[in-house]
Amino acid sequence: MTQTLKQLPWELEENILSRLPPPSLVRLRTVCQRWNALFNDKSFVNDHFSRSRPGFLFLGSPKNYSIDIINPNSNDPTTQSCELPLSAMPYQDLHYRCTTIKACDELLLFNNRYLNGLSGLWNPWLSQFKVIKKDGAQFNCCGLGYEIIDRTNKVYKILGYFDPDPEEEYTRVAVYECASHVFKHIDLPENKWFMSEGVRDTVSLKGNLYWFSLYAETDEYFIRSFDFSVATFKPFCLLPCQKDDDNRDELLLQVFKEDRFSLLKQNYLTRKIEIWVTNTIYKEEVVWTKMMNLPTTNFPRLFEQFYGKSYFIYDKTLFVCCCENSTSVPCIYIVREDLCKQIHIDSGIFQCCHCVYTPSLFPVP
Amino acid sequence: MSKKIIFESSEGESFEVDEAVALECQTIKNMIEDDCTDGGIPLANVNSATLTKVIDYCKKHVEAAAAAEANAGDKDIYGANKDIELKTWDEEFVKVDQPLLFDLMLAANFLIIPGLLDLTCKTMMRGKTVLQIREIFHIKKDYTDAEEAEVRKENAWAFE
Repeated sequence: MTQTLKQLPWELEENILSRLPPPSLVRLRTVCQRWNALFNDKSFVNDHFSRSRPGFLFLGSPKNYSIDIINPNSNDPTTQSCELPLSAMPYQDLHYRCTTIKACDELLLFNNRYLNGLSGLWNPWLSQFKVIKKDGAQFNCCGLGYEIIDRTNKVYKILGYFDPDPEEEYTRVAVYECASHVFKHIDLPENKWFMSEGVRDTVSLKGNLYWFSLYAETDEYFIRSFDFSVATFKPFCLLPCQKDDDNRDELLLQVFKEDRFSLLKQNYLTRKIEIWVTNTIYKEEVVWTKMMNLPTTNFPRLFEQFYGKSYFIYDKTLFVCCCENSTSVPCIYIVREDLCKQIHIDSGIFQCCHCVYTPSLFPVP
Repeated sequence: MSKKIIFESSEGESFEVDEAVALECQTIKNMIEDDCTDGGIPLANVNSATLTKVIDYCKKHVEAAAAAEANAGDKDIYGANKDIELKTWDEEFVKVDQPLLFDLMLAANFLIIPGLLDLTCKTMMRGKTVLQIREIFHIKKDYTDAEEAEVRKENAWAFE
């Protein structure tokens, strides 16, 4: 047919390329200058991100993977692992127990509490790693967020705290501005609660941070938030379910459908799993709905995970990354009402850290 | 009897399909909703060979969706196999020569059939060398050898 003889419209070429996973796209940079230049084209990078699906970023020794979910809505969902380049990482000896990676929309915050407390913003596909300059201060990153300046500009910021001085009564909390490398101290005279909370396990949603906290008076768990645009902490909402009296149940918070939260609760005794979700956070009132109860045959205990656990809900399927209880082999579990599938990531890896992320081509700011 | 829609290929050949099958194409769906499909839909940029394949694809996916719905009530242990069957069918479906695959992709883009567009795009790019991609897309190499080597070097991991 005649059409094969002429060149495709550029829009279609872009459309095709925006459907490809980052490793293929990076290889195709050598096709021509125009394709290479797509990596600097904001609208292409946005389109590509909007077509990407969440998956897991998995760092282990000796191999690192990006794990995509394949056919998530089919009767036989599975995963595909692709080796992840660590070429931009300043050092490779990661001390996995001290390493956290957190996604904030299209960006990754890498934090290592060991050695010099290396932190940085990272995009493995672009081989970019921008070290956060701390000027010798022991600044511990809690999470990445942003302030929206206008439709196309965000100012990325990191909430964190300085290692407490034994002389000081309070922890010094600060916000680090990524572009200017400036620390802005946050005055919190009554901040004794700060360190006792799950502030290291923050979840970033629409630029703000959220984590579990406990009302001391009532012993009830709630979600506290930090709003980067006004630099204030405030309670966000109560949880729809609480832990058992001995505080052993597992509770995990995650972003759901971009503008909502999901909550996973695993019962310590029965190992049963409940999934709750909120309405969109743009609504004034937070409403939790129980989405599903899941079977737990073959499913691991999440409360005994030495190397952490990551999860997300895609439509009505739960995807979890954690280690098998008996062997410590890192696995992906895919769970639905009538399905519990286990996939070994790499049986040669026994130390790891991981997070949920959506592959992106956004350059590190 | 379900309503029929008539497509006309670039060669002027007529193809009669069930409305449900035509609805797989977002472009046609919009036309049906606007009630402007009487007297057939001329597809001046889709030839007969491509249109035959496109109709095959839409038919198969309409049937598969209907079967899945019928089985949704009782938990069918064959459900998983059926899904794999559809995937296998898709894989077989795109085992065509490069020009036809290319035309299918263009047709999927024009008629807006997201599943087919995704399938053809990914098939088109899979396992191809940079040279082959240039050939398929009629792209002239505009790098000097040194420049190309430089881009390759910067992204060496992707070529390992």
